[in-house]
Amino acid sequence: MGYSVVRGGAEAMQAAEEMLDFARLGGLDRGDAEAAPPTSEVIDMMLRSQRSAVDRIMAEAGFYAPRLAATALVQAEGDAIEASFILRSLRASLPRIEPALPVEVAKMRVLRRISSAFKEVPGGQYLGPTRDYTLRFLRRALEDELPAARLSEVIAALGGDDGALPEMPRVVEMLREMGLISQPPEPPEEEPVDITMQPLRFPRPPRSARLQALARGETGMLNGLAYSSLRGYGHVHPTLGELRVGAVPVRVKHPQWDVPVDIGEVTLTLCDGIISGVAMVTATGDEDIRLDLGFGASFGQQEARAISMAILDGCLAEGTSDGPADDMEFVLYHIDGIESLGFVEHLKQPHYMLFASVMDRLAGANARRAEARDAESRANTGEMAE
Amino acid sequence: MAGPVIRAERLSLRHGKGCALCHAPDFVAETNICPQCGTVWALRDVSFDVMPGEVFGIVGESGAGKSTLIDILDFARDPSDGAILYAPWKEGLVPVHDATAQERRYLRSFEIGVVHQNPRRNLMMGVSAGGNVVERMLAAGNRHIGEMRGVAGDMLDHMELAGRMDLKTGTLSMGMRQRVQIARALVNSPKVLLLDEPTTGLDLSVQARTLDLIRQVHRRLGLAIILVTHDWSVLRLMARRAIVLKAGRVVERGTVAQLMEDPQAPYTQLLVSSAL
Amino acid sequence: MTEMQAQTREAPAYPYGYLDEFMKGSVRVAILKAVCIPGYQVPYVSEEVPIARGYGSGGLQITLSIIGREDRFKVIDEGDDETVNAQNLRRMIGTVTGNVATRDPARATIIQSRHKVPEAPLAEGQIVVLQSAFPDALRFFERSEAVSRQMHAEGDYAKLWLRLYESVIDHGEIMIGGRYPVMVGGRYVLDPTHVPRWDLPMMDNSPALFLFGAGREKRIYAIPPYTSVVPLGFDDHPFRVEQQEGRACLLCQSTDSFLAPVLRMGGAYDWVCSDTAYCRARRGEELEDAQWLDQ
Repeated sequence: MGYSVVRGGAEAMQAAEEMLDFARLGGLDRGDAEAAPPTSEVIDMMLRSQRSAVDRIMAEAGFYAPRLAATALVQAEGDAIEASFILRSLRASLPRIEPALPVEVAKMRVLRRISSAFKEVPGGQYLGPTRDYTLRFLRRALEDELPAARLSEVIAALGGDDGALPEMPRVVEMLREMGLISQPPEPPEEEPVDITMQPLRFPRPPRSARLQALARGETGMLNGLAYSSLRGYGHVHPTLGELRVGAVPVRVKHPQWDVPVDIGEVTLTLCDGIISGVAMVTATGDEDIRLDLGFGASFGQQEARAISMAILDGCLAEGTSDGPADDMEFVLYHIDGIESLGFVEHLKQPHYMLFASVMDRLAGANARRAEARDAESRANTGEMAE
Repeated sequence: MAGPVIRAERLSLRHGKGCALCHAPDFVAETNICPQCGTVWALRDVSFDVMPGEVFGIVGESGAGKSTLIDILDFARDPSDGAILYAPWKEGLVPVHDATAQERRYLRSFEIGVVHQNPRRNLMMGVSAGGNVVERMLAAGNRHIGEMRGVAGDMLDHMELAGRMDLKTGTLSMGMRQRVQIARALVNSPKVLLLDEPTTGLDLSVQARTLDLIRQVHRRLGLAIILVTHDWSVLRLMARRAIVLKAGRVVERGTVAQLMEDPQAPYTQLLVSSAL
Repeated sequence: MTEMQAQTREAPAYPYGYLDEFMKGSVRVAILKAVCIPGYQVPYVSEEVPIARGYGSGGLQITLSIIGREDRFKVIDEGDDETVNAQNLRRMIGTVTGNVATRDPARATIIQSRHKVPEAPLAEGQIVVLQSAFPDALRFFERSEAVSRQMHAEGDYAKLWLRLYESVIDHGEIMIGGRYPVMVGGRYVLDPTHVPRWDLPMMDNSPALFLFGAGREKRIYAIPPYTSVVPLGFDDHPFRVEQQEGRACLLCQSTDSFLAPVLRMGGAYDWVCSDTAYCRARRGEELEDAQWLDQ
């Protein structure tokens, strides 16, 4: 019997890439290829119309670059986690220039701001662009929508600019000044740890490292773990002191003149979760009982991400339940979608030798079992003969 | 060897910082909670010596601090104040709190065996009964399966577990698990055996049998045993000397005969009379 | 065609070896530490590279951090130079460095491999980079990183030995196929990755340096040259390599290399060398240098 070594892997690989482009460009029977716009226009359209997808990709990549994210989204045919992987691996080839200065939350140019702790808060509540109270009918009429016309209608309906926004102090800062917020259990860190520059260390990585790992976490995993604590596998059930979405300047210290300079702007979602409840009371003796905080943040408008992160921040600080969301290693080792996706997909690689080794062990063990069975049946036959 | 094998020296374990009132040497309170600062003194100034080959009893109701004391003797937790000194380890009585993690592990592997009330604290339920015993020999560096099975098999035979060596521990009855624990605790021939309520929760007949086995082991190996119990009949059967713990403190000490026939402390009188 | 692809598909601007210099530096620091403490798992920062997690990102980070312009590299996957995975990594390394790849293990200064140590004897100065999925041999039974680190620190391997004991009791022999635990330098137990047991004796006192990269788990560990590597085994149930009696390579008739099964219709097996370069050399073929996309 003949045997030929399987070769030509490179050809297969190239052909697979060609097929991927064939699929991406609509070759798999998705309409008229001639009528398709140039890809740069598709990227523009993603940037304009797929705001949530682009935001999610940037958040999971830990890399704020809307146009690159939109390009990655097109390259990945809409697979958000694949797109964030592409973006994050680009990040590894780029130099780090300078850590940014802390964001001044009170100065955020707010697009949306709500508090579920108070009916009224200084500076007011702004619903902004939210799907929270929309009716989820499928809008078939979108098939007939003309964007430019609809946009001018919307602008007319919303009316003009109300002028400058009022001052909006951070709600939890006000509570802190009133002495209602507990000291965090860990002392404040001089400089935040960057997990892309220093490895995570267990059993207890510093809070800044935990927050960064959570901020880059996979949206579904963040959501699922946070939900598990809310639902009963844990007891962190926060009241949202504040959820705000808006634009803030990115500032760094000027390398020569040592003054802060604006180098750009990012859109952020920030969430302050107020964690309370009898189970959380840790005060002893004459101390007053105070409220704990959990903090969440995300690039773009990604509210569920920010809220989930605030819950998990609370879970990891407390660690009082034996639910999975309170388990430091469990959460931080499994939160990253790029890692989990890669490892699940790696099962498609050849494991010929591993499998051969399993078969070798199996054959050996089964041979011994057969021997034992034979010996037993010989003994039984002997007994019967007696 | 004339001196003690273990000495506990003014062991205290508190939850809370304490205050001037409860840190004072003559501080006495009804409960183990400081009325001024709320600090809980799970153990307070507990001292005793255990002599080689002796069975030493620690009696008290639940909540008296007995299990806390065993945890400290087993290095599962450190005392807030005071010291434990072990004789068999190095020259003379040596305090263990400055021992390194490796030294502590050595002590736990070779010098001290422990049997907990709950077998799950010591045994791996998914591992065979023999495996739970053999694991201690593996920790000691033995790498010969036949030899280890010989020793573990003898040990389990003595514990009346012949033929059960390769059954998973989780499939054994509570009484059997307790005997696997004892075999495991003894396999490296320790000089001290800690028994934390070893027969609590077992049927009466199983209880008697287990105590009998422990007595045989004690006679055969001549090791020191620290027996923690709330049961005076177990104490009378096993131990010669004992201390009585109440709210983390030693309220009385003496021979078991003295304690039972002529208790001095009102608390001991109450315990003894309610037991009889 | 290749050139056109390079223009249209590959990211245009990146430094030699793709990684930013800061990251290369931090990987090198971890490698040095790993070489100084044989078998110890050094945590490091493992950033994403354009190869998916689980596809050799850790090995790739090591190779890209240590490769220099004069290095000649070889990439194998389960011993094979030509699998898509090997080709893909070879393309990646070739594209971002421009270095020459080879199939000849003797001419390679860096051999990046998954699941196999080359059969041909290694020499001083060579580096074998093994892609590792699970850096910690204790993860089998201890899921917590904090606890297993403590066990390594104290050399507390009784529970690992117990696992081997239970395997012998339940099955009559140590039923570990791949990832067979080895003691390195008499101090640390190490996970040698899914290489066959056959390969473990080749790691013992090897003149070459072995580096292990676990990118997803963010650990680097090493076996320096001339370090003892002892697979765990009992005095009366010793470690055994895979049994190959009665088998020979269908192509080169070798009986002294690790043979992988080829499934035939009807459930029969044929056996061929898993190390394709070794097999080809035995058959007198020339092991050519390879451009990363040649066929």
